Amino acid sequence: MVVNILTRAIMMSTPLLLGALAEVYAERTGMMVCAIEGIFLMGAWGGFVGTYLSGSMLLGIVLAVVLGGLMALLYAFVTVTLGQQQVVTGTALNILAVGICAYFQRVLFGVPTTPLQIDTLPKLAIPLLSKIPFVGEIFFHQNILTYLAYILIPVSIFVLYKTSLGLTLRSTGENPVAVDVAGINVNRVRFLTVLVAGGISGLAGAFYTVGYLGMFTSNVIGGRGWIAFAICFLGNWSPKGAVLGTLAFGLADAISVYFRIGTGAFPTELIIALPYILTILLTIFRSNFKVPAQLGIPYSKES
Amino acid sequence: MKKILAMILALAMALSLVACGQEAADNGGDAKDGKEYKVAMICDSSINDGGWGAACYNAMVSAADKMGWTYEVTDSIAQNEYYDSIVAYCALGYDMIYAPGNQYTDAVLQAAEEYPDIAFALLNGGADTPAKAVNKNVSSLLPDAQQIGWIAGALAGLMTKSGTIAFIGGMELDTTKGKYAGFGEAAKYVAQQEGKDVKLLDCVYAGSFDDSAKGMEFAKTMIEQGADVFFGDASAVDSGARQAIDEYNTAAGEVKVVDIAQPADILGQNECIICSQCTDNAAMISASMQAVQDGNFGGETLYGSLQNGALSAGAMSDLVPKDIQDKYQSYIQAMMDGTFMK
Repeated sequence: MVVNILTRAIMMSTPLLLGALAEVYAERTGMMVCAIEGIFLMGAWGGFVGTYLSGSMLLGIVLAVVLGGLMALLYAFVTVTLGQQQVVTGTALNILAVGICAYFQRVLFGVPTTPLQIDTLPKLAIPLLSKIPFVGEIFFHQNILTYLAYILIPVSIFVLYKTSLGLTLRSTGENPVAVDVAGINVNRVRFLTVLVAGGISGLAGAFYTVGYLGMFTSNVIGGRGWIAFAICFLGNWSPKGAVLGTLAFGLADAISVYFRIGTGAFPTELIIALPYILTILLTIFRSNFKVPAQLGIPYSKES
Repeated sequence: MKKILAMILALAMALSLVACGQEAADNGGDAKDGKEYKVAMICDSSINDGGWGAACYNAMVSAADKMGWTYEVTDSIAQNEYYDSIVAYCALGYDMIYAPGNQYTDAVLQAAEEYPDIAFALLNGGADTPAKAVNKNVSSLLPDAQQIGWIAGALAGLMTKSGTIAFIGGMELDTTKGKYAGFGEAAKYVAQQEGKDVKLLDCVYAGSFDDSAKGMEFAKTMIEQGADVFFGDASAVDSGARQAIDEYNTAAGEVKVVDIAQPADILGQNECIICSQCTDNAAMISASMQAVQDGNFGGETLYGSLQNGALSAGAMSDLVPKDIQDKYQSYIQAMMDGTFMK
């Protein structure tokens, strides 16, 4: 039973981890991607439609990344280029995403009485590693997107802390004037980072349809984009923190499913809320927050 | 630049309205007395969820087609939009508002008070709800939840090999609790007749009707706990559960875990579905439409049961052996005769 809970926790953590890492990068440059819920949804829809129409999961995933990127492009245009308020823009785009998906879903497929279905990514057992007792089953019997998330952890730590690109990104969120003086275009850095974050979040969204469910419903994301957003805060804007935050949430979520089924003693509402309460508590009990100094503040040379 | 932003925001809002999925249809509107009658449905789940939403929508469409009404639907609406959506249709002059779910009761009663000339048909409304409407313009269409549970439970009791069965709920509604209770008592009774013991796992609630991912999680966990027959009342959550069951069966190389669907006959949608508990809401909606046309709508509860044909068991898959099918039919007959569990 423990193996099953942990295997599921790792699987359900994958999209959250992808989204949280994307958010860490964007927020380190001063950009909160408040449209993340909508980007997740676009990714989920893109993954479904691409796979359904082409029959190829790869094309579905590519479409998810492209649509996530396009949504991020719109967000970046409004917030970076036009310097508009990030929270307001993000909220508007989240609503827009629901509209776009529902509209085109109906245009493309009408109102079928049964949900359309696609195949999902197969589980790949990694040779040798998957044979390790306990650990092998939990970590190395997952689908390719989970393995991709594993790879992204060290890569994102390395890029953020060991490369000049990472230094530029971090400085853009802390002291954009200094970055500007060094001859680097602050808004271009922010714009491109948001685009990349959008692509990765689109991929995270595709996990729900292509990697897991095999179908699309309008509430397939169900607030999980916001969880990734919160995990970035919880993880103190570091990739390592994001990994820990994701695991804590994923574990609480998996355990809450067992609790709901195994015991009639707890009120259902409390158990549903458990992972969210845990996230809030962990965030409250963090002693020191290293909020990027310019988070959420548009940059213009004149100011 | 500000103009562009304003345009984007306007577009966002316009599309968000589209998101609510308005589907209009005009089939001539040639009701018998020459007046053009219109019905509008509101729904918090999607009408293509392959479950509750789809079944309720199709029931309205078939009733409207039969009666010569035009219809419209707004789906995927949030709880805080129930009342506003209903009132919007009232203001547009619709003759009947069709709200398929107990959760719309408060919004319907409030709107019914403000629009005395409009008929409100509340599917799964409480038996006492019509009496609460001051203008007597609300009717409850109430399929018998216990019988729905029985129809699925009897088959579950016959089919289970592991002796453990499971039920997935969406919201903690009285009707869902009634179905769960009926499912359990029928399964236990039938299994007892067959010399088996049956354990019904605690009812789990997803907290929504559209979180398919949650349904998948539930099903996987319940299979681990030994469940081999599933029934549910959770719309798209059930679709997710079926996906998980199919995956489990594929991995096992044979169909070990099965599902009983509801409320429409969707045999064949998933391999694991062995039968559907069917609710013919269209018959009850047609009766309401007829009452509107005759000018005597309201203030009553229309019950749907096996006896009046509103409830039934759907087609069965080949996974159900012939002898079990025969036994099942005899139990259904007993339910119709009023002798079941007596």
